[in-house]
Amino acid sequence: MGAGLILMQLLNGIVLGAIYVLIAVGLSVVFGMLNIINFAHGAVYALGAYFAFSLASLIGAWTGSFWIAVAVAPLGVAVVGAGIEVSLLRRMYDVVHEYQILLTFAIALVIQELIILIWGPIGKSVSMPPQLAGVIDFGMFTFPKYRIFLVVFIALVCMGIWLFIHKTSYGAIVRAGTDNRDMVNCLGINIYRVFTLVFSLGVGLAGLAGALALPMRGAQPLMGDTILLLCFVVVVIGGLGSLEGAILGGLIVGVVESMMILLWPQGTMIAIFAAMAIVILTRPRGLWGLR
Amino acid sequence: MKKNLKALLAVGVVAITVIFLTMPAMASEKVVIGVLSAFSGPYASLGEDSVRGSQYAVEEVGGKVLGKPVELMFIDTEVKPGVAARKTREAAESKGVKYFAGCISSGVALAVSQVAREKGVLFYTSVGADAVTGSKCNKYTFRWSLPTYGAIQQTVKPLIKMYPDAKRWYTITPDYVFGHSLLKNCIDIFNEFGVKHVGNDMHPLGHTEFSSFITKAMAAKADFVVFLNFGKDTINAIKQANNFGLTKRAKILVPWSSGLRDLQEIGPDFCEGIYFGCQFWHDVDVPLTKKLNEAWMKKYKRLPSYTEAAPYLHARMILKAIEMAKTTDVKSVIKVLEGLKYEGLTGEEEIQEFDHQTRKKYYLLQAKSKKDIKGPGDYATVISSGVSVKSQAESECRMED
Amino acid sequence: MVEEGLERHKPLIDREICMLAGLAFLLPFVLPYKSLPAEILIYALGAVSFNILLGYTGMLSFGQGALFGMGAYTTGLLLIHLGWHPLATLVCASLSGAITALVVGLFSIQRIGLYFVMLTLAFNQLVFFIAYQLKGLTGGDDGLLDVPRPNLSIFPGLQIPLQTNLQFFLFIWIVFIGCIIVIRRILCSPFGRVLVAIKENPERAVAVGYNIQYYKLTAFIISGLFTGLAGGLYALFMKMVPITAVELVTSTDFIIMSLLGGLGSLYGPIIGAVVVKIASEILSEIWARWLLVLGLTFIVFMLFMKEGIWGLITAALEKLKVNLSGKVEKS
Repeated sequence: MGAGLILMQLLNGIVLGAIYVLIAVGLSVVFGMLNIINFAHGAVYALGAYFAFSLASLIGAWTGSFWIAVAVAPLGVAVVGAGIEVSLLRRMYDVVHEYQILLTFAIALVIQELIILIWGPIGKSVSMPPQLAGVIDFGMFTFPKYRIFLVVFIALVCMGIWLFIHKTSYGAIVRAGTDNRDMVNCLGINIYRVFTLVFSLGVGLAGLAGALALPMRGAQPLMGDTILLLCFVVVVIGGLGSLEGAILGGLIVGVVESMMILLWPQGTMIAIFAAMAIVILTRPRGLWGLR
Repeated sequence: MKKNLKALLAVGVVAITVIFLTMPAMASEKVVIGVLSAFSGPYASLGEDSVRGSQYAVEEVGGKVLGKPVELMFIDTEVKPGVAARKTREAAESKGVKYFAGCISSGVALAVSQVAREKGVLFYTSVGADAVTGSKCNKYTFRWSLPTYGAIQQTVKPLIKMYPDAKRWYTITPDYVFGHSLLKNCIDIFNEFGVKHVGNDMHPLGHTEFSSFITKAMAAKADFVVFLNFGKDTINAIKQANNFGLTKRAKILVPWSSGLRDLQEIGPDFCEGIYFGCQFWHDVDVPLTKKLNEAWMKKYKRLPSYTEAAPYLHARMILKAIEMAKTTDVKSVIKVLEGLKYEGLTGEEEIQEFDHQTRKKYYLLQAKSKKDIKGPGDYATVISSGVSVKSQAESECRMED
Repeated sequence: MVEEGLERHKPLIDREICMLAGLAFLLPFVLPYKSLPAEILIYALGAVSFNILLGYTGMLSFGQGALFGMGAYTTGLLLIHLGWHPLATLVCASLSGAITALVVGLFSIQRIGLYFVMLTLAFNQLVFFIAYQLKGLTGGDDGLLDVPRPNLSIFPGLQIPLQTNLQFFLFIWIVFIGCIIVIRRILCSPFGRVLVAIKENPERAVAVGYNIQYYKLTAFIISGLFTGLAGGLYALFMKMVPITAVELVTSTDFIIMSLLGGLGSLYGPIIGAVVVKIASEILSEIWARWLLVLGLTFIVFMLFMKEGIWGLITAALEKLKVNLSGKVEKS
């Protein structure tokens, strides 16, 4: 097992992890604020990919079409998210927790079936944006440009979210709401408006992840299913509700997944879900453990 | 408590009336063929293909066999063995369906084959795993496609001979009976010819992320990388292999492809130079294939693919056998099919009596580059073709009664 | 919410059970499907067992598929390799379900709320991936094929055949009604009332002096016992064990059935199983996108009819009764 291979797998793991991070951040922030585990988060990831596909093919052969798709598709998903929050989730805030989980579960089913209805059961794909096709030669190994770009881009997005949450006044309200939402409400801030914002932001990030994954993996109606379960693991390992935890957890799961392929491929998923159980049992606040 | 009793009574009455009203008429004077395919889930595109293929076979006989109308019943297996087995059993029992055709995955076909034996209904399929007409063969199951044994014999063997310098082979395998079967046959040939099997990776059916396997194959300095998956999985794998530049460093073989469908979906940019094995290719000098080509050009303005040709052939053979047997009795139809020689889609084909496996040709194709493509469907050249099936002595098939 | 569970002094077999038995018995005679009735009862048993956790104790478990799958594999493997008496394999299926539930429960009840949900989900995935990888034993993705369904030999010379659909249905029907009688007995007992108390207000249950962990774990084991049995019956029914038996989708099937039927009573999940199974059979033939209908129905029920179909029925009857009695008084 050469050093080149290990480095390459490490890099691979970081790419996988970066996508998990983007999805898990939304999942985690929504949990922190709304106290909801969103089972529809995988479905909106798929929706993001399909929106991006439609936009890219609408605009046509122009070389910049993919970039417009990546910029606009998440917004579309965020609007859908806002609609879901206002029309459905809002009615459920004062009932038992279990009902909210099951409601998002049903929403996921509906979104998936709608995707098949609109775009058909056959998967869709786009070609790589020409600027990022090809590979970079690192001497010991080569690596696709697009995947390198993906990691850098997602890192920037995460930094942006961090700045938003920690440095803006709106972010302060979000942070306060995560700690104690009744208190925020008492301060005369319309907590429901914050909920809508946070939910559509979280969902939009999953949509962005879908749009970014499109040139690599294509779009399939059920693409959100497996990734959702892995993202549950990510947020649990990192700590539910924490941005930094989601980043840490995402990278850990991504790297473990690709490294296990070298060591013991059959055990990958067993190890990942066992880790999830162990973390909940021993460190329920996750490895980051700030909350 | 009384209100609950009344409630139950009310529910019961309502349920009974609703059900009686919606009860479908029992099939009596019709010949029904149950077409098993995926109509939902990641392989749903194949379901649409099987509709077109089998419908054409019915049109061909004017919608009638022995004067009885022919009806197709499409059954969604969701590519899950449990679902397929249950729905097949249900169709055989409640609707009296006696003929079944199709199946996409070997795992599903094995489960259906078990039901076919139990219920005494005929099942005509084209899946890969050797066991279907090998260790798990039975009286009621027929197969058109060459099994994985033949697919590997007809692809890996000629390529080893063509490229004597390619000594390092790497395989990527889907983790179910079909993949295992392909892999076993590959390893047998690697050992026979003394080429080195430098690595293998298993992935679940419907996997979308192949990067880790591709990097491993690159690090193993493989001369040949063999993708033993099919359909969506292969398409994703090849695209990602391209992204990583694997296609430039190693030769790639997909021993079991759906031919034209895959080549079109992946596109000539990604496919160029890749070797594909296939059960059916439109560009051959075979009368029945030419007829099918013409029909497809007329109907759909394109050429047929394996995923349409196989369902066509299944339905055609079942109808033909019923016609020849002059009865719809399953046992008599089986008698007719056993040992039958006919003009098929790959030239003269023959159904072996001892294991119900068809002797037919398998094609090794090489995808053309974009500039060499002339006209529709001209995506690949046929490198070689031939028949490889196990002889009765080698076969593991021991048919009961 | 759980009004039936709180009534005292119920005989083991009363009109309620007779009614249920009678209606269930009608299934194969009114349905145009031959094998579906047996499957409905198997799923109904699984859904009822799930509801012991959610409806009665307030624990939303995503781990029922693991229990069901363990039962199915146990029966399947014992029949294939050891050729045991079917009833013996079913007892073992129950036990393996109960033991799995003991392990999953022991860990899961350490946490509450979302963390509990996530733990049960993790355990379901663990069992699934282990079953997936143990191909030699379980057949992996291809499923465990060729599970025999021998006749029941009661004592030498007397055999109860299980081969035709009706014979097998009768067998399932007897087991099902027996299980429901036992489950109802348990839930009507003081033990069942403690479970409801834990659901309604765990703090108070602790304050009154109940060891709620003990009760939760016991509820888990009881649920596992019957889910495992349902799994064992499923292996006999299918004559195979598909990997989907142990997948998360089995867990969610039970959840959907229980919710649509109504969590508030013993009978809700049964009605849910009947409705979902029949609807999916009819709708899936008409429209491949029938899951959309299921999802939308589910949302509507979550938002407006949390009591489920059972709740609707009881409410409607209540109204009818009031109207009728009103008229009687007037006349």
